[in-house]
Amino acid sequence: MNLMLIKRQSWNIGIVLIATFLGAWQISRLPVFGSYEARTFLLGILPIALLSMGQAIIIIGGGINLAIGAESVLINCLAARFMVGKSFIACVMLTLLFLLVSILVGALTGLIISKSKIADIIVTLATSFILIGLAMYIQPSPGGGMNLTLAHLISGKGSAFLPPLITLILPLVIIWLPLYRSRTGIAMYAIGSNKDSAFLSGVNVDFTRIKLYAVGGLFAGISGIALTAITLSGSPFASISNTATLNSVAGAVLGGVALSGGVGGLTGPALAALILYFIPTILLNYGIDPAYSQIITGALTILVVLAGGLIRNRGKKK
Amino acid sequence: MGKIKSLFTGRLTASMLSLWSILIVLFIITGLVDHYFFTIPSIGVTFQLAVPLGLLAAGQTICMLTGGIDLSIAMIATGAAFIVSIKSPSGLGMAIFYATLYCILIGAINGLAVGLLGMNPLIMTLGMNAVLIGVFTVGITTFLKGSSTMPDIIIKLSTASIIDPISWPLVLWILIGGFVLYLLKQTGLGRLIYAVGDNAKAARLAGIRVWKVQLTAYILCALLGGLAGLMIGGQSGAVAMSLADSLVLPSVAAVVIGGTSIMGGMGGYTGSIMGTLILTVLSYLLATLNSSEAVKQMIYGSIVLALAWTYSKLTEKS
Amino acid sequence: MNQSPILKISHLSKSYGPVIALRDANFEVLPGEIHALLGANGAGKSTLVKILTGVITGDQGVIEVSGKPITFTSPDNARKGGVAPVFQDPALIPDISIQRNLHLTGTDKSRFLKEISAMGLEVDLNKLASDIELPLLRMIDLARALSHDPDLLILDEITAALPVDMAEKVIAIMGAHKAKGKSVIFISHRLAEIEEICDRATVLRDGINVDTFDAAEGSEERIVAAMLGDKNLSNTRNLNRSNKASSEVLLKVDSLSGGKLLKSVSFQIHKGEVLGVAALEGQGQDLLFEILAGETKPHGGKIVVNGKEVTFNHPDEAIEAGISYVPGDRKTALMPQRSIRENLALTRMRGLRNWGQIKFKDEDEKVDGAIRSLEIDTRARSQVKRLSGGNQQKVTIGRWVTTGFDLLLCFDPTRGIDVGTKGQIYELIRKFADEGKSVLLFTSELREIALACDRAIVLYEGKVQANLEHKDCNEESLLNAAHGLAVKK
Repeated sequence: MNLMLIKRQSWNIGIVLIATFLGAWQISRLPVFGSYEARTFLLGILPIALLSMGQAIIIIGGGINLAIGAESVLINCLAARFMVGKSFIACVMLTLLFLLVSILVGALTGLIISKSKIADIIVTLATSFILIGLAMYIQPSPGGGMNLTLAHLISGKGSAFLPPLITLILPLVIIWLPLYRSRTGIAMYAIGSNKDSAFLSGVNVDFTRIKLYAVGGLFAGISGIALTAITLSGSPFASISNTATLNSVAGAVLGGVALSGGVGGLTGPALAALILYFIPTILLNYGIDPAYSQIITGALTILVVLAGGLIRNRGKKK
Repeated sequence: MGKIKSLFTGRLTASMLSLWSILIVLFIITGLVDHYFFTIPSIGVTFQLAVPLGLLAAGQTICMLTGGIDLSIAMIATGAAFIVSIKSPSGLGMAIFYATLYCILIGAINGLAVGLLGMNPLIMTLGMNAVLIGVFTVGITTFLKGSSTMPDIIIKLSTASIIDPISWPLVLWILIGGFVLYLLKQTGLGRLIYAVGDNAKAARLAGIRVWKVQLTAYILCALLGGLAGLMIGGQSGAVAMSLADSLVLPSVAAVVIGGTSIMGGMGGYTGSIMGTLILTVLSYLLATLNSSEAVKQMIYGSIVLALAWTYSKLTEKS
Repeated sequence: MNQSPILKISHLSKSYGPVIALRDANFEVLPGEIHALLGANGAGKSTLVKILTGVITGDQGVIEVSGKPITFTSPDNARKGGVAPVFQDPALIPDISIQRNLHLTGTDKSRFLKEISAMGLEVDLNKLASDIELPLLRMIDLARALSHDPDLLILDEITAALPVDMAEKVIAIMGAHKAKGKSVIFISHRLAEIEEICDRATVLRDGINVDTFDAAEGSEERIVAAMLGDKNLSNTRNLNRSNKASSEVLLKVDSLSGGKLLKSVSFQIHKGEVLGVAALEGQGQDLLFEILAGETKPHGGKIVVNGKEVTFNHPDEAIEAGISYVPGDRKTALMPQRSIRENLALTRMRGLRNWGQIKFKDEDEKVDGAIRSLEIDTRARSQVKRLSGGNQQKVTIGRWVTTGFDLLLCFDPTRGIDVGTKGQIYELIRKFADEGKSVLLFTSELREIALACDRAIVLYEGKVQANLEHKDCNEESLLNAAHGLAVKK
C-alpha cells in the first residue's frame, strides 16, 4: 500500500525535489533570505500558480481553456477599474462579485462547448478574443487600483509573507479539497478519463463539463484579483494573457496533469509554478540572458509531455 | 424539398454561400463608411495586406487538415525574416537558402514529434514557439548579430504594385495559393493529408505511412510561414521579435471561418482564402470606424464563434 | 406459481436504419428466478439489455418492472430502480481508484467489502481500476451491483474469459441471490453453466424471442436448435461454385500466438479458396485477422506466404505481400467525411511514388470498375458517412478491388447489413475465388459459412478446435465446435 502511494505521488515528489533544489540554489545566492525575500517569491508565483491550478482542473476533466489568461486579465481589469478609491467593505463586496463573474464566464464557456459541440480549442480561442476585448474596453490603458487594506490582506506588505501564502493555499484547501472528494469532483475525473464509462456510471457529462469550466474560471478569477492586489493596477494586454495561458498549460503539464485527462491533481501544478519561477530567476542571477529561460521552459514542457505520455503508455501495456 | 436539402448537405456549398455573403456585406459597409475604400488603389493595398495572413492561413490549413495545428508559425515567420535580414549583406541567395533550411528544420522537428512520437500538436508547437523566442532573443545579441532591415528586393516584392490593384504580393499569393490548391485537390499527397486527418487508423490499415504525411504537412506549413515572415518584414521594412505575433491567432481564425475543421479531414484552402479576405476587410473597417482595439477583439472572437457554431450545426444534420 | 413477473418486456422493437435489431420481442422474468437469455451473435440479446438498462432507447414497446411501466435513462438510473447490469466491459473509470469509483455511483463501501469477501476475494480500494486485471475487475463490478441489493441482476457474458474458480464463484453468487427471492438474467454461451444454474431459458433469434422453456426440459441440442431455427435449413441461394480451389497453398499459419487470447493457431489457405472462420465472441478472431493484416505483431509462430516466411511491421508490408484487410468495424476502415471515390482510391496512394499528380484517368477507370462490380449505390455523392451500412461495406471491400490482392481478410462483412446486400457480398466473395484469389472470412452468422465458404475452421480457447470440409459446414457442427463440443460427423 505504501509503495503504491509512493508510486502514485512520484510525480509530485519529483517536482518537490526539483523545486526544493532550485529554491535552495537560488536562496544560497542571495546575501540574505528573510521574510521579505520569501514574500517576493510568493508574489512572483502567486498569479501563475493559481492559473495553473485552474487550467489543471480543466485538463483533468478532458478539456483545455486557451482563454484562461484572458479571463484572469479581465477580472484583473474589472477589479482595478472599480475598486479604485473605494472602501475596504466595498472592495470586499466587489471581490465577491467579480469572483461570481469569473464563475459565470467559465460556466458559459462550458455551456457553449457542450451545446455547440465545437472543439474546446476553437471555442476558447474565440472567447479569448472576446474576453481580452472586454478587458480592454473596461480598462483601456494600465491603471486603476485597489483598496490598500484589501490589497495587503491578499498580498501582504513589506515582509509579511503569510498573506500571499494564505492566498495561494486557501483556494487549494477550501475549494479543491472538498471538490476532489465530492461526487462532482470524481465526475470531473471520470469524464476526463473515459466519457462512456462516466455515462454508464451515471455522470451527466454536459452538466459536469459546465461545472468544470466554472471552477477553472473561479481560479482564473482569484488569480486576477491576486494580480490586482500585487500590482495595484489592471493591465489589458493580449501579450500578458497569451503568456499567462501558455504558462498555465506548462504549469499544469509539469505538475503531472496528463493531457489525455483523468490524471493529476492541483498540488503538482502549484509546485511546478515554483520551478517555472525559479528557472529565469536563477539564470538572471548568473547573468545569463533570461531569454534562455524561455528556451528551457518551452523545451521542458515538450519533454515532460513526451515523457509523461511514454511512461503512461508503458504502464498501460495491454 | 430535396433540392433545398441537397443545398445544405453539401457543407461546402452552404458555407461558401455564407462566406461570400459576409464578404460582400462587409465590403459594402466598409465602402460606405470610407468612400476611398472603393477606389482601385485602395483595393490593391487591401489585397497586399491580406497576403501575409493568406500565406500563414495556407500553412495552417494544411496542418489543420491533418488534424493538427501549428502555433509556432509566429516564430518560424519571424525567424526566417531575421535570418534573411541578417545574412543578406553577404548575398541574398545564401540568406534565402539559410532561411529555407531553418523552416525545413523546425517543420521537421514539429512533424516528427507529432507523427512519430505522438506529441499533442498544440503543446508541441506552443513549446517550440517558446523555445524559438528564447533562441532568437539570445541570438540577435550574439550569433545572429546584424542588420534588421530587409533587403530592398524583398521590400519591393512585398509592397510594389504592378498595375493597380495588381501588386507583386498579390501575384505571389496567386501563384503560391494556386499551388496549395493544386496540391490539396490534385495530388496524392493532398488526398493523404485529408485521409490522415479524417481517419488516421483507416489510412494506416490501407497501407499509408501516416507519419510521413504529417512530417510533410508540418514542413510545408513552416515553409509557407517563413515566406509570410519575409513578406511581413518587407512590408514593415524592418524585423522585430513581435513581427508575426498579431497574426497567429488570426491565421487559425481565418481557417476556422473558412470551414476547415480542427479535427481534420474536412475543408480546404478556398475557404481559408475567403476567411483571410473577410478578416482583412474587417480589420480595415474597424480601423476606419476608429473602433478601439477592444471592440475589434470582441467582434473578432464573436465572428469566429458564430461561424464555427454554424458549421457545427450544418454537419450535425447528418 | 402465479407470481407477477419482476420484469415484463412487451413488444420491444429497435432498428438502426434498415437493420432491425429487435422486432416485437417479449421477455419475462419471475421473482426468485435465474433466467438465461440466449441467442447467436446479433440475435438481439445485447440490444435488449441496453434498452432495459437505459444505455440506448427503444423504438417501441413497454418495459414493466414490478408491474410498473418504466423507462430508465441510464444504467445508474436503472441501478436505483432495482435493475443492476454487469456488462462485459466493466463500467469502472480506469484512472480512478476503486474507492472513488464506488463513491461516484453512490455505493456503500462496507456493503461492497462484504460482498467482495463473500466471494472469497480481497480488493485494495486504493488501487486504480486500470491497475487491476480484467477478471477481478469484473468481480468488482459484480460486487458493486450486488451492493445496491438489486431485485434484478443482469449478467452479460460475465463468465467468458473468467478463470474457472471465479466462474464458479459467480454461479454460487447467483444461487445466493436467488435464495433471497431475487432474480438474475444470465447471458452466456457456456451451455453447461446454463444447465447447471438456470431455472428457465429464453432464446432470441433475429430480434425476437422464439423459445422459452424450463432448464430441466432443455438440452444443449434443443438450445442450439432454437438458436438456429429451422433445422431443415435448405440453402436457398445456390451460389455458383464453378471453380474448385487449387491445391496450391497460398498462406500457411503455424502455431501463431498473440495477445491474451490466441494460444496456438495453425491452418492453411489454398489459392482460389474461401476459408471460413467461426467462433463465439471474444475467442481472439479479431486479433488473428489483425496479425495477418500487419496491424498487430504476434508473440510467436510463423506466417508463410507463397512459401516464404514473412513478418509484418506495418499494414503496408502485408499489402505488398498480397494480403488486404476488410475490418469488421466500418468506422476503422472508412474516411467518414470523404467521398466514395476518395475512399475507393485510398489504397492506391501507398508509397511516395503516388504523392504527385493523380492520374485521374487511371483512377476513374479503376474506381468505376469497382463501383460496377460491387453495384455500389453512388446517389449519395458527398460523404461516405451518409451511406447505408451495406453500401459502406461495399466501399470497404471495393477499396481492394481498385488495387488488387491475393488474399482478402474479411471480418464479419455482413454484420448489421440488409439481406439483399448480404447476398451481393457473398456472391462477390465467390467471384474473387473464381478469379483465383483467396478469402479468409469470419462471420458471426454461421449459416453463411456453408453458403460462401469451401472449408471452415473453428476457433475456441485460442486454438483451432475443428477443421471442417464443406460437407460438414452445417450450423449445428459449427456451433457445437464453437462451444468446444465434439463435432458429430
